[in-house]
Amino acid sequence: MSRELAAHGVRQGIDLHADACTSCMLCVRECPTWCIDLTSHTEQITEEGARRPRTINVLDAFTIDFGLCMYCGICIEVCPFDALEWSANAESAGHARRDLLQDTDQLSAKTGNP
Amino acid sequence: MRAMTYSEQVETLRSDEQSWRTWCAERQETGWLLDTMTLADHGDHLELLAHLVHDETWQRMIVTFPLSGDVLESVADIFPAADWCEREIAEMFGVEFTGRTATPPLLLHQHDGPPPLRRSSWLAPRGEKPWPGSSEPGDDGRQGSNPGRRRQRPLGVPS
Repeated sequence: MSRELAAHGVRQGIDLHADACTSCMLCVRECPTWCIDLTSHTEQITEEGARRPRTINVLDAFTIDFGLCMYCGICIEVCPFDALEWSANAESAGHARRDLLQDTDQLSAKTGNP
Repeated sequence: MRAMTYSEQVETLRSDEQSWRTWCAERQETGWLLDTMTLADHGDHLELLAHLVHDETWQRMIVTFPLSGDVLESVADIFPAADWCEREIAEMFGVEFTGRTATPPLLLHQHDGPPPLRRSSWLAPRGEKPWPGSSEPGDDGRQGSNPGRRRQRPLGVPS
């Protein structure tokens, strides 16, 4: 979906696939407008047959401030796991400045992904 | 100075042999018009960038002119379109245009500080808000998480 949209110059919104995000912080660090906030914590999981538990990053919160975002798409380009993609759903306007902050649930709801 | 047209005709001129004003006057006499003009701050030097269009052939030309300092001769009397561009460049990049009677600001009537589009000018919000990229993956703010890891710094922000 995202490549087709980008090929047609459609940059209406950004969707998050939270299950694909590894909290690597690349999008947050590359964002020129500092509009992405990400918090995560580590958890140890034990896989069957593994000698020792594996440490993974678990995403706690992912927020895009669409009052700052300039739709440059660097976060989408830089994501190694395609957790971010262009969306045809335009970000809706709000009555207050805080309405432009979209969290994990709002960003994921449009994709239908968790 | 480097100039080229979209019809793949590339012309290379030297800024130390020709003045910006003389070059513009010659182009104006041969039917060229100024489309738009701006400046780029390359860190060690400033470079003027201008687009010209030919009055009859509609040929387009892009010309770059490296500045030796931050003073340039005005060409507003040769190309009237340059008047607006020079006012813009003057207030955004702090370039002084000689030969003009006045260079009134366009947008920054109450601006106090260095010219905003120069590399030496920093964005105030960068100093007010902590960089969101400073925390590490899996770092939930508790002490002892990711010990010994060198902290990342944001690009283009003074430490």
